[in-house]
Amino acid sequence: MAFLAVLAVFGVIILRLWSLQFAERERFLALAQRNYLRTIEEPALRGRIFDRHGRALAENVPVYDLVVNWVGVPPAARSRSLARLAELLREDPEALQARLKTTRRNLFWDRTLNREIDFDQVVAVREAQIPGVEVRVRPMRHYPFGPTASHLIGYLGEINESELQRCPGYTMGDWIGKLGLERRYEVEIPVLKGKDGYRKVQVFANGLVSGEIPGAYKPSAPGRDVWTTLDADLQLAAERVLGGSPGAIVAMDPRTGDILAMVSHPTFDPNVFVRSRRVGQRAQALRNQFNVALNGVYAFGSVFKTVLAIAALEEGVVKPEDTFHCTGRYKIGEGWKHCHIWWKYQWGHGDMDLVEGLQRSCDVYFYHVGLKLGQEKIIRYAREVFGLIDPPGHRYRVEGQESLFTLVGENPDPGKALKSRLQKGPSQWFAGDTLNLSIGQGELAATPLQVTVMTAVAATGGMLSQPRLVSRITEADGTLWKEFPPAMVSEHPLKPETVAVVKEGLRRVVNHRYGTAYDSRVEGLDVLGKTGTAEKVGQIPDAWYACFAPGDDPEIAITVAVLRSGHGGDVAAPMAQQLLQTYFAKRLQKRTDLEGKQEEARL
Amino acid sequence: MTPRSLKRFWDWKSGTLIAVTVLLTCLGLVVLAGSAGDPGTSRPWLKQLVWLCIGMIVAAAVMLIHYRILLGQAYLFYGLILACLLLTEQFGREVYGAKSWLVLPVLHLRFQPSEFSKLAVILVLARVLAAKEGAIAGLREMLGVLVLVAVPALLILRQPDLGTMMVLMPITLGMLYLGGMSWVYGVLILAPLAGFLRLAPGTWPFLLWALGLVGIVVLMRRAKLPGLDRLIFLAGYIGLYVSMQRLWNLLKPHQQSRFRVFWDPSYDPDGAGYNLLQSKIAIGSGGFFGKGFGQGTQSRLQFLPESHTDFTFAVLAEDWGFLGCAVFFGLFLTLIYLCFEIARESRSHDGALLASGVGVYFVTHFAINVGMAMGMLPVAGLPLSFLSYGGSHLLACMIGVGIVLNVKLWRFH
Repeated sequence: MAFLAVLAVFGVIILRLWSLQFAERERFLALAQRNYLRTIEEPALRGRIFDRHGRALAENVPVYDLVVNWVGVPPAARSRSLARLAELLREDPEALQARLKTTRRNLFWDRTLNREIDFDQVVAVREAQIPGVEVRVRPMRHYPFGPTASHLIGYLGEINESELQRCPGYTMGDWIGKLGLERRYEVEIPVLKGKDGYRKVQVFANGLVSGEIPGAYKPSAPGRDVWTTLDADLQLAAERVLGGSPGAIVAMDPRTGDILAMVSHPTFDPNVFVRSRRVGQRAQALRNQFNVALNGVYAFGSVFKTVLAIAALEEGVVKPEDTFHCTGRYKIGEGWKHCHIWWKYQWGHGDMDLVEGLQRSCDVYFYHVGLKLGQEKIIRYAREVFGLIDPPGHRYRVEGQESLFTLVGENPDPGKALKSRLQKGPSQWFAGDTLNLSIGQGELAATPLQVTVMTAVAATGGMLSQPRLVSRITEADGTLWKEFPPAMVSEHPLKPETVAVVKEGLRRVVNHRYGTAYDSRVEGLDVLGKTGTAEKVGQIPDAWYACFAPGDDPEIAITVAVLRSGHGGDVAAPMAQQLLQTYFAKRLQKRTDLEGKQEEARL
Repeated sequence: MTPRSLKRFWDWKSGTLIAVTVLLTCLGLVVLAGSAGDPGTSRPWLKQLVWLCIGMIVAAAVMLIHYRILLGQAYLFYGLILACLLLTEQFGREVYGAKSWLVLPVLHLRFQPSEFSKLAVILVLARVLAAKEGAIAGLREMLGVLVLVAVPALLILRQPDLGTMMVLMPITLGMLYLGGMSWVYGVLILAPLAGFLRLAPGTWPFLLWALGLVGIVVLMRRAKLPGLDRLIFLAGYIGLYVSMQRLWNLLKPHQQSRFRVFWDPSYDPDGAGYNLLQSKIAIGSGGFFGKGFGQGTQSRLQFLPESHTDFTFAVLAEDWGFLGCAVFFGLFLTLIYLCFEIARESRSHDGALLASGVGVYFVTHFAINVGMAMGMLPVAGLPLSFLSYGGSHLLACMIGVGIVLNVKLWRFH
């Protein structure tokens, strides 16, 4: 009887055990796994961005975080550790304790107290060997050239709500490219980010890692490297040359469309967005993100006369030797249109042919040419041959910067005003408008990059190259993943006579003592250029200068645009001069050496 | 002891009892070696082995002294234990909030007197009940017995060690029943526990309690209880229900939350409910075959607290699964069966009481500990016989087995 009761007790216990180990086994297995299983993310190393010579424009550097982890540290030792740490950091121990309490811990009980600590602090903390206090290293994005080319390179930031919806595979707190190449090659073409890996480990109840779970390791794959066409030296030189003036400098290889340098001022240091200790500088940096060279649309004045000259010669409306007389002003209807010389001396240039008209930038000469050509032909040439008028993204794009061109859509279309007036019919278009157009004033406007492309077309005799910022993308080990070869947008071969005459005019702009950019000539180098001064009522004009060199076999085309600064020949041309001297420095040096030797030989 | 008595002693029962004991202790050592244990205790199974050796010698010694001599000195043992408990209250060492350890000054040996108090109670009850020769007709006859149990129970409660105190109650009831008490009294003594229904919300618990009230009234009438007894039981049944809220408030918060966890397993999973939840995870995730020796993540990675003491059963279930538990249950059931069997064939009333008392002692420990580990009873710190780490309890268990063998050996004398 008594033993029956015992059997009953055992029966109940076995039933309960059965229900736990069979009916509910799956649930308890999952709970057990949730207890001990932890996934350690192994973030992929982001791909780097290089200049054309392999210098890193964006790379990853190790930074050090101060981490407190009390696992395995007895409570008594914790307060001692905290006191020592407070002494080391020169902080109030109680404030430190309070700060530690409000710091969120991760799955492993790590609390990051200070981010990106100085190196001497790293050494001090490591030497002190305080129980529970550690220095952790992690990779951080770094832009070694700081504000150089930052508009093109872009920067990283924490993902926001709308990006989270647009980009699958990201979670809150992830970093993502926000601008420039960093954005283009992560959001639009996933290249830079790489693939994150993970490890699975077993942990003790107190958070200490017991060991790795075999077979549950997925290594991370580093991101791919992006090789730009930029030349860091030239870029730095261009920035130095432009100095603090708002404006842009674009240097391009007219043969391939490679963008060698593209400066936009004001600029910003992308490092402020990744360094947590520079948060305060972010607001200012955000205000300076506008890329003047790529997205700034401005009137560019007399630089346009090159287009007019080429169009007139190609269409045969003027011959090179045809002259027009400049009295300093030109009567149109009831009013007068003046040449820029009028405002200085109240007289004119006298008899001008095409070469001299370009050299002295005579407005009256080009009034005549413009009227002979007619607005329709002017606009056709500007658009079809030189890639002007339409927004840049319409005719050509810059490999690597499409995302930036989308901004152009928000800017007023430079040709829109012009086109809309054209569509209203000829009655709305006055001869005065044609005169304005002929000297690059009025509605005509373009970005500094477009002006550079235009110059390159003149330099190459009609070839419109696709501007190229990214030449190739390689795997982290250096093997080629994708190449972007130079591409041609359109080709309108110009007559050799046309090119020869126009080049002569442009050559004399720089190298003739009455040229508008004579002060900016480069001794020993065949520089061809055209100045421009975009007038705006009541404002200091924008200074423009577009040039290329050497004249017969152009290697580089440079556009300088300095906003609200003065005359092109006074402000912009000297900047290009300095830049050319830097770019051709070695060859110029050789040449002077050669001349010296020849001199000696003659003696 | 003569060769003849030895020959009579040595049969399958005594052999099996010894074998089962040895197997249980071996199983205990294996489970202990597989559990992570307390980080402060290095290799607990080795220490346990030492205690086991001591236990075997003591058990052999206990076996050789005729149980009548032991019973004759029952009050002496009882008094000694009471003295030890009093000393513990004064000079005891506190572990986990309970002052239940006594340190012997010269030997630096520490032990829990409360563990041995259960044996002392069994001895003293066997003697008292045997003297009554089954004449337990009413509460009046039981009064002495209840007082004898209540004194050490109160002292243990003051430590406070609720678990050990709780074990004394079933032992007493079981021995009273074996000593001739009617089962009706057993029911009536336990009935006031229905007072806990007061703590549950709603009307249904009250109706249930009222039904119980009707039930015991009917039961008392049919069993023809003396009037005074009826009054006392009625007063107890109603009184506990009425004063339950006040008694509840007397409990310390951590004790209250242990009860709460019992009602509601999802209550406070990081605090009071943590131990039970982790224990259930360990047992449930073990499955049929278990995770293997030392492979249980719950105990090895220290999610399971007290894995080598109160929750050894969870380690057994996790590492060795249902199979291991079945083997353990089988061995333990055999042990208890043999206790009762030896009691049954014993020719003297006191010997039978002694052996079956030890059987009840094992059953109680087993049921409370395993029931607690699986969430069937409120969590109370209580070792699992032969498996849990702890010298005092192992020694007490070995002495218990020694007493049963003693009864077997001397049953003809």
